[in-house]
Amino acid sequence: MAFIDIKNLCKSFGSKKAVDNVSLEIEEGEVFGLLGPNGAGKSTLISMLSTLIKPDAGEITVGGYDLSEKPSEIKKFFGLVPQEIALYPTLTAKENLFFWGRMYGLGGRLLKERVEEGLELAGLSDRAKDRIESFSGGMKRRINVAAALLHHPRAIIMDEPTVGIDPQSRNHILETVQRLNKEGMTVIYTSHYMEEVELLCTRIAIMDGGKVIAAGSKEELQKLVGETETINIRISNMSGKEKSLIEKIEGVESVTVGEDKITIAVKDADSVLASVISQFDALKCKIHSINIDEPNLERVFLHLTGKALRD
Amino acid sequence: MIFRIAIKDLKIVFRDKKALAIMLIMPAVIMFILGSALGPMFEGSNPIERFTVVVVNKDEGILSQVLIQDGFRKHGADMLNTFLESDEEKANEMLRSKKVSTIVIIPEGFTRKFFEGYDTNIRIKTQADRQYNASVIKSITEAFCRQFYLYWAAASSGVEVITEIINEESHSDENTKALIPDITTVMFDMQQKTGAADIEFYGEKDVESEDGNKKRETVSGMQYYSVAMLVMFVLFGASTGTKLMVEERQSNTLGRLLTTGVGKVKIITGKFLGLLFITFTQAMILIVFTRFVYGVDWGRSVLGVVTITLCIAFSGSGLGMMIGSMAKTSSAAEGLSQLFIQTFTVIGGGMMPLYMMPGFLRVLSRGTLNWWAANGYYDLMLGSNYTAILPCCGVLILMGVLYLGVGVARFRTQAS
Repeated sequence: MAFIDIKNLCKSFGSKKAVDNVSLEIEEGEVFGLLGPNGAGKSTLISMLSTLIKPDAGEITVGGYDLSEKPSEIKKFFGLVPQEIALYPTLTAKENLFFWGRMYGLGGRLLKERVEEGLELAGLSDRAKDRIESFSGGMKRRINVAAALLHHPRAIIMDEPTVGIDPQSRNHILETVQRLNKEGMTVIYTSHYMEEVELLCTRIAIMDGGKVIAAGSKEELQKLVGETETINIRISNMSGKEKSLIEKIEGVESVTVGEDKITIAVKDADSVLASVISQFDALKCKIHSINIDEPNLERVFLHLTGKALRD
Repeated sequence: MIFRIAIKDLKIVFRDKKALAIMLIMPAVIMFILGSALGPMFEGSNPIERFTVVVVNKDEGILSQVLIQDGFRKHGADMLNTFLESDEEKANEMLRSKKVSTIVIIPEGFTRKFFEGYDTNIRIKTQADRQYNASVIKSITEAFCRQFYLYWAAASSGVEVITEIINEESHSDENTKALIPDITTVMFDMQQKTGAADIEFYGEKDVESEDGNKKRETVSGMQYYSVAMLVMFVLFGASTGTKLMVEERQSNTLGRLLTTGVGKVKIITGKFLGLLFITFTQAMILIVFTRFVYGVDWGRSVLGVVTITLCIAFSGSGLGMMIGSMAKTSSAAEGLSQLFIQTFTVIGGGMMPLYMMPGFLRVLSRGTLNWWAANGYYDLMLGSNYTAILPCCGVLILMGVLYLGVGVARFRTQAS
């Protein structure tokens, strides 16, 4: 039996189905990624898993415990890193960690050790006595992660932990995830940053409109789009006819038009590129840059939903 | 856990400079301004200095002597230094030379005219800038005469009835007739027995409380507004905690707290205890500050002050929990708090004394926690002991439980 077993999970808010009949299995010790655009249902799924909201239907089993029967047992397994900075801005980093440690039931010398450990993990031991409000966004995120690890949970749920932070802090968090996983911790990682999910996760579920539209390892998911490549063209002076004309070119599988960008999925970029450029030339469009990507999760998402991940 | 949550909230609020300014500095300033500016409304005697009055008594009857002794010297003792002068011209000279501010001339035949029902025409002369003194003398004299008229009317009716009975009995011998009392004797006897305490004077006076302690009838302006603003700002203190609670929900710290294994009941209790700590600490700081800086007399019962403060903190915290459960955003919490606090303060007599308000508002005011808290404090300030405030405390606790009940019910609904 999987460490986390989710079966036919449903949750609606009014008439909107936020999570629609989702089933997943997550093994202990893996980094499981939930990939999807904003509003895909990732956060709702995570909220149900971390016992914050009750499902309308379906079952969740964690470590052999049924969530509907033993939510307090399940809470002990998890550490939650919410999407928001769930810290007290006017308390210092150390005071925050002490508070959260106590809430996780720690005390005495153990609590002190874990707080020191948390500060070290966040790389902020030298800023321990500074208030959270004086930290940069990245530093806050690092403490946000550290607070979820104080009680040494078996699994950590990270909901978009790198939103809006500097590259240095992002790298720090990604390295932390990798290190924790090496130490045996199960990680459930949600993001709409494809690169992060590709880098970290051993298995990935792609969500859209409240449903899991595909799940598997990175390689398994990439197979869904075959050997296709992506041509990304930055362009100006578009007339609006580009999409329909490019789609008619032989070898083109799909076309996505953005504000100043066109993404074209093709079987072989080399054989199609010349025709694409001449078509733009005929339409008097100005090409600024051309970039060819190998098959990736962005492409998978595009292939499965017909829209880009960040739309 | 509960205690840790409460202490954390207390720490957060007392580190917030803006919140501290609203909770401590602003009320201290407003108490001073309102207490100083509107104080005279409460202290009718305070703007009038004690003044000297010279009485020229041309009457030879007994009534003028009683007026001087009982009216001016005894019951007017708080305001008047009364001296007698037989020469009217000398008295006028003293007034002209500003040696005295007021002279009173009791005309000849004052007693006789009074009993015969004629105008008595007491004259009061005062310096142009001290006209209020004349009003004081006039008030004392009118009240005194009104009182005496009642005694006289009662005495003459009584004597008349007794006379008729004796005459009808046809035992009209001299011995029986001697039983008919003299009206004047009856009247003064009545006055002696009932005392002239029925004569009301403006201003403060001390009366004996039931427990034998000295008890004043009114509080000073500074006392009044210290209490009113204390209660209002304790509610603002609670609203600061309420805002914090809503912000916790918005920033998902409350969500994170719920995933830690700390139960909902413990979280709600911790939050309530936090509000209680915040409001009680704030109130006690303000009480100590006003006691030693503004010299506000909060009464003799320290236990009473602590108890009523705890009760208003409890009640205010309950209200805070209710508002916290109703508001979805911190700005909504702020708006709702303002609405509740300002309405309660105005209706509860926090802005102006209740006697200046229409009757229906005076009835409505009893529905506010401000009214009960303020009355508890006023009782203590006027010399009552601990037991006198227990009814107010009971009502405050009841209100707090009611508000808290609504808040908890809403929180539980939201959480589920």
